[in-house]
Amino acid sequence: MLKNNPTKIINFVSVFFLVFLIPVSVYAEEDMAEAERQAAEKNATSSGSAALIDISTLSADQAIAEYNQSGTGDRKIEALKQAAKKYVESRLATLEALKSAIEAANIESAKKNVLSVEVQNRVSAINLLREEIQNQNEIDQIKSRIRLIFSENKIYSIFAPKIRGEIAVARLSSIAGKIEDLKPKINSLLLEKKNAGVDTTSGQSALSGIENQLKTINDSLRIANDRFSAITLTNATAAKIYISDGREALIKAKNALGEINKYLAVINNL
Amino acid sequence: MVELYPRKKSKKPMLFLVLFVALVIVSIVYYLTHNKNSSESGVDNLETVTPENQPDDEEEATVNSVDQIEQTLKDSQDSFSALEDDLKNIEVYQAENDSAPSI
Repeated sequence: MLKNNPTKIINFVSVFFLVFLIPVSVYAEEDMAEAERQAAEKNATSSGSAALIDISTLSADQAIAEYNQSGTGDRKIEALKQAAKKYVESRLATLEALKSAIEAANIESAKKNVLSVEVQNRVSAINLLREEIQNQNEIDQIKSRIRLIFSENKIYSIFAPKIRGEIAVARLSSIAGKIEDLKPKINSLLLEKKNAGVDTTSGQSALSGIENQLKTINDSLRIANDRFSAITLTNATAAKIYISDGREALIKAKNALGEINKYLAVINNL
Repeated sequence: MVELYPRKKSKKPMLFLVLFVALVIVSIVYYLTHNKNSSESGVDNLETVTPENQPDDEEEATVNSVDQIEQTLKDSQDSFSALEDDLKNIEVYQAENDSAPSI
């Protein structure tokens, strides 16, 4: 029937394409799309809802959550490293703040040096852990080093309060010394004013108040100094008690200093 | 040979010696007298306190004491504020979570 009739052959082929091949190709495309969708769904189910999130943007807590939910080893390692990076960064920022506080404090330079060296040692220890974690690809090794960031350094719970306490003790000690040196001068000034006919009763009373409060400061300073200098990173239980005792002593000393300021203002206004 | 009429020794050197010693003594006495007078008069000794400048020193000492009280008061107030910061910081640090994550 089609023999000798090329026009009919062409028409037949065209109809064949239209009727059979086009629907087949459309179905094939749909099948592929469905397969891709199913694969993506499967992936999302196995690695959690954040599977497509860039891990480098996660906070420490989010990275740990990602680690706990991740199915694949590489993603778990990446999440752990991200968490470690965040733990290290926040601790280094705290140590930098401590360095600035030491530098700005009105305390003896010898004490500044001692405290700065202590802080620098912590910075070095944490940087070393950071480097080890970033170069490590074994999950257990990374985990054990992350634990060391906490257990060996205890930046928030012990180290930073200890350094802040020691700065406070040095600061108080310095100002207490200045006030002590001032006492004879206040005495002479009051005597001179009295000789000039000025009523110095309030001044005498203020001087006596200064002497009493100085005694309180010195007693509290002794306690605070003992407690803060006894703190070690290896005994967390004792450290917490020492920090609490030292802080209490500092509060007492601070209140006494506040009273001294009032007395000095009285003498200053005579 | 023994001289029957020995020559008399000259007394001139002895006289010179006596004159020299006398001159030294006079010089020392003059120096001491002059120095004593100078000290008393206050001309040569610049560090001598005269009755006129004594009150000035006292006044200066008073001013210094007042300045020092004012400065110490300021330092003490600054220390008080810094101490408050130290105490707040200790509290904030202790409130931070410092426990290792469960991994």
